[in-house]
Amino acid sequence: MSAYDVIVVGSGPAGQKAAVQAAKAGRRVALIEQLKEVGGACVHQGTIPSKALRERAVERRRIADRLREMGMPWESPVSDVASLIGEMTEVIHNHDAYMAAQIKRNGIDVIHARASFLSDSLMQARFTDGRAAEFSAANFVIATGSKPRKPDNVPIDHESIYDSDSILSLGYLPASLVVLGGGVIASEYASIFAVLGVDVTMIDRSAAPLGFLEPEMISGFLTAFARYGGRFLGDAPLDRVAFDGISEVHTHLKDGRVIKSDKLLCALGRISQIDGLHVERAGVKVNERQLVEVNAFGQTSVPHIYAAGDVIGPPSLASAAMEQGRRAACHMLGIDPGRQGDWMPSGIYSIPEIASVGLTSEQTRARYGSTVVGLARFNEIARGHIARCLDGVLKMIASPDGVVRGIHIIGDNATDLVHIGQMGLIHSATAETYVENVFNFPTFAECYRVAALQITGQLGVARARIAAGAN
Amino acid sequence: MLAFALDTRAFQLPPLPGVAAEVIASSIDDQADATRLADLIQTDQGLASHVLRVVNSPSMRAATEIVALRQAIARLGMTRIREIAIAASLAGALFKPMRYKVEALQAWKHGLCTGLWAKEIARAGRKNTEMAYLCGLLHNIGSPVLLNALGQATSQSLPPCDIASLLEEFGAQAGALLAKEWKLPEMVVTTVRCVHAFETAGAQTDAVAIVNAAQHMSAMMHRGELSSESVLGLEAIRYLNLYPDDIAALLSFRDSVSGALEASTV
Repeated sequence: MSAYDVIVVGSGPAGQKAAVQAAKAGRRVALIEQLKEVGGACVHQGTIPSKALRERAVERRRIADRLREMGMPWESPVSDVASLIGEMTEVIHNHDAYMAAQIKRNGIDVIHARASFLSDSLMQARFTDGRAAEFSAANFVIATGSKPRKPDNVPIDHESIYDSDSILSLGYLPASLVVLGGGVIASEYASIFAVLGVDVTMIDRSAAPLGFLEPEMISGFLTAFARYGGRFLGDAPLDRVAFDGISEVHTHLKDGRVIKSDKLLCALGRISQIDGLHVERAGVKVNERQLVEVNAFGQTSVPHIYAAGDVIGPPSLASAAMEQGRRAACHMLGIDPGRQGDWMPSGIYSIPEIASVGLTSEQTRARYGSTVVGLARFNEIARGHIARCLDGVLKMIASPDGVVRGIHIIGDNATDLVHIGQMGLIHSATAETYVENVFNFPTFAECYRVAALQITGQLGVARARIAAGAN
Repeated sequence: MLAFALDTRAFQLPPLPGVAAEVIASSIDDQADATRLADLIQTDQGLASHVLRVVNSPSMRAATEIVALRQAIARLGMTRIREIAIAASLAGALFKPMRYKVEALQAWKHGLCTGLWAKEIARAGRKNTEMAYLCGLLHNIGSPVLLNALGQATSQSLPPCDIASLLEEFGAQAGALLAKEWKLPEMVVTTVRCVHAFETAGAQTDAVAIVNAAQHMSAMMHRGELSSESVLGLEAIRYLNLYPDDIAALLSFRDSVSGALEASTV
């Protein structure tokens, strides 16, 4: 039996960072991963493949749009699905190789097996050939991630009815696709497939998708989605889904409507992946949603067993998982992880991209009494015209004292652009900060100044400045 | 003689029958619909009768007799009908040599069984099921071609062990020639060429490994040796990262594979 200082289960963003942090601290670390590659669902089924597909879809759409403008219509932005998948595979392979090299460089033992707890200090690994081995450790990190939720009324067969882990196994683009759900994954895939020329119908019980976002972001998403031929059916609770036995999937709604499509993607959330891990043998508590319960340091109900990433629940972002993994490892080893940032950005890789950081209007109003809002539209920005990206919006939300409390962006580069706002929030920047500082021109960052000017204008600060300058 | 014929391409490659070509094309055509396939099947008398025989076979357990093709499609589903149609059209075109009928039928059943297992392995690994089926079905398409060639080349029948070794030695090469000649999808061509050495399939290694595992499972099933232990020992299964739990789940499809096989070979 091998003994380790730390055993990490799962090599996704959380597990990988936890393992690397522990190894860098000089500990003997084992990383148990059930897939034959490292990276977890993030690299092989989720974040990386879908984003790679998204980029290729956007590229092809741009080419199609340009050709159309030049009088050379190209009806389908995608003629060869195999090439799309091939390019995606290449991205995954490169990312996998980079991560494997990092793990090797840090002297981490990677064990490709399925793990299960035997006790709070002993773990069994079962290999594909049926062998089993036992490993002991002083500390553990559970970072086994999540898997798609399978509602009883949606018979997922990965042939006509897919989940978010199998949708990218499609060998060709279907003529039509129903996407169940209104969350991040549903919105991302719905918009990507719509841009690829698929007739997409997105169905959700909520009135609008991405309901946690600012209204401008939601309307921006829906406008773009409709332009690409997508259709959103809101307030439409699902009754059941059935393959018709011929060639179509029938989505029966509670109001009696039946939506027919070639294929269906069920994106009604993800649940924690702890099947077979037998956390109960270690005394680790899970809640009623099967999420592993942790404290602020990532500790489970058993102090030397930590958990990080999707297995502990929201925000279910790869970026957050990485930091949770690192902080968990730091805490278990008595290393100061540094002050935890208050502001975590979120990115939605739909087409167009959406990103936000900080408070929403509602949260700002609740906390500070009222809001002052500045909106900068990409069509007011030189870069928007240059890049032919005119539909974007940056929304800046300030409290009455002029301090910026939230940034919300939809449009090209939103997921990168949001980090300027994040830095501003960290340093409690006021709207004036954005007005008084110079940004490169022409860039989308100019949106920050435009939005900030609206806020300072409303607050009367600008007028006061001018008056003071005149005197 | 066979080696020379293959190397010099002095080989009689049968043309892909029109209906089979269209059925195969429909399986990789995202625009294909039930109506088109039904029309296609109805244009071929042999194919139509075979589909109707299959859907009315005992293993399909139809509550009422199926008397029309559209009714058959409604009963079994487009995907299943397409699979039956491909298998049947190929059987009609290729698997009826003048001599070696037993071997030809066995090869056809093996292809079909491989396709059915490939589909389930693909499903377990979240890979494309439709392509897995097609690649599995066609992986040994060189066998009937060789059997035809052997039948024409010699006046006396070879013993079964000699036939088996010839098929093993030259089957993939003959199949690859045929697949190219018929302009089958690239993944099928690669599968036929690399199925016995899946690790040489480059970017298609996963897909070919699925078929490699499936053809071993088909052979094991034929010999009555299909078990968790035997499947667990397959190199392709380990490559595909399937664990004992996954294999147990996979083997739970044994009856449905067996039923589908029985139904398709009535």
